[in-house]
Amino acid sequence: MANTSILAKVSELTAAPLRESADAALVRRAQKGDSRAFDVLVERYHERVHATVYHMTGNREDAFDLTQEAFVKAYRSIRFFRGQSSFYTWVYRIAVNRTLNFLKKRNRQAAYSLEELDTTIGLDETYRELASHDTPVRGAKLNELGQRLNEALQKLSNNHRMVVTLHDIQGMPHEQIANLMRCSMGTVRSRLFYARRQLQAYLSDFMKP
Amino acid sequence: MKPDSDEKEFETLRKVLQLKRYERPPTEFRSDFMAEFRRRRAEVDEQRRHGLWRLWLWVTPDWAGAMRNVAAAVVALLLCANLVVLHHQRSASQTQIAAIRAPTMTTTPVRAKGPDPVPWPYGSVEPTPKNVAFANSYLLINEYYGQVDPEWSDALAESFDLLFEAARGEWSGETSSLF
Repeated sequence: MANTSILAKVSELTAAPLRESADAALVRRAQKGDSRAFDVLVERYHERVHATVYHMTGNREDAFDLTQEAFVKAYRSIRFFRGQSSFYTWVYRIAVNRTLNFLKKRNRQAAYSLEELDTTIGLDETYRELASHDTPVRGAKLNELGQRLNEALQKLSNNHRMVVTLHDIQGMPHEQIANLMRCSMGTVRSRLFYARRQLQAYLSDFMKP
Repeated sequence: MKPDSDEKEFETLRKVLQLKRYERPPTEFRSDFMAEFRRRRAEVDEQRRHGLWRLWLWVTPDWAGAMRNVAAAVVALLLCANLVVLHHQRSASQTQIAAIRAPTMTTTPVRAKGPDPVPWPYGSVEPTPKNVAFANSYLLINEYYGQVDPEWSDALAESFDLLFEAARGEWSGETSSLF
């Protein structure tokens, strides 16, 4: 199992630069007016962007719309994209900013529309560990925990929820989050700390050993 | 709360949050998303192609339908004429700046020999600059020399006062040829 995860890490590390150079070529084509090249970029990244926006808004329809708007905005501005960051980071930043603006305007708390879990979750070590009987979340059904977690996420402030979503759910490093949210790494760390504290308090029933 | 148990709880929480990566939108999401994106992209392309023309059609009233082409030509001509006038004004101002910056500009202007300047005949009423280009050049020079050595700009400010005197006809020196 360990070997598999190491291999996965290695392939991920080698694939990233290749993917970025392929993205750059697609961006150049899109800048020259090739809309099909842009479609490939959308196909490549829309699910990840959508997942982040969904975890931020807690609503499937809103997430769908905001992700659409982010990609359309990127399409409109692709000629001005200078390639100082990767295309993915650029689109992500557009999506994050739009989402934060949207959430500022939206006063009500979202009722989470639950997404289905991917069937490959059964292969995840963490899942199996948590589902086993000797963990702190024993006795609690994972679905119920998921529900409570979503509610707890919606109680966080927008900035705290964003940091948790990007770091703990999407696995983005601190530096990239700081770059994306235009704040220092210290701010990211402190937001993460306070957000986790709040989540722990909301989920104390499940978390207590 | 002990730091150790704190860490453990953080770790559990982190693991639970990671499980959210497995949340997936419904199966039709991917195709729906791409179809909707292509539709919106086509709208953007359409706007790009016809944006200016549509704006023009919207701006002009219906009764002017037949006259639209003529009106468009007139507007285009007016815009061109405006650009030409602006260009000329700008180059005139720049010529004046260049002349003012010439070495003949000193803090102690040399007065030409001749009769004393005639005093301003209208009492305390201050004369206004004789032409707009002069006022424009003064503003432009102020803007330009706002960035230079203060000593030099002080000297220049004195020269400006003399220039204004010259403009009012209070003395006739070399710089009066500028006007």
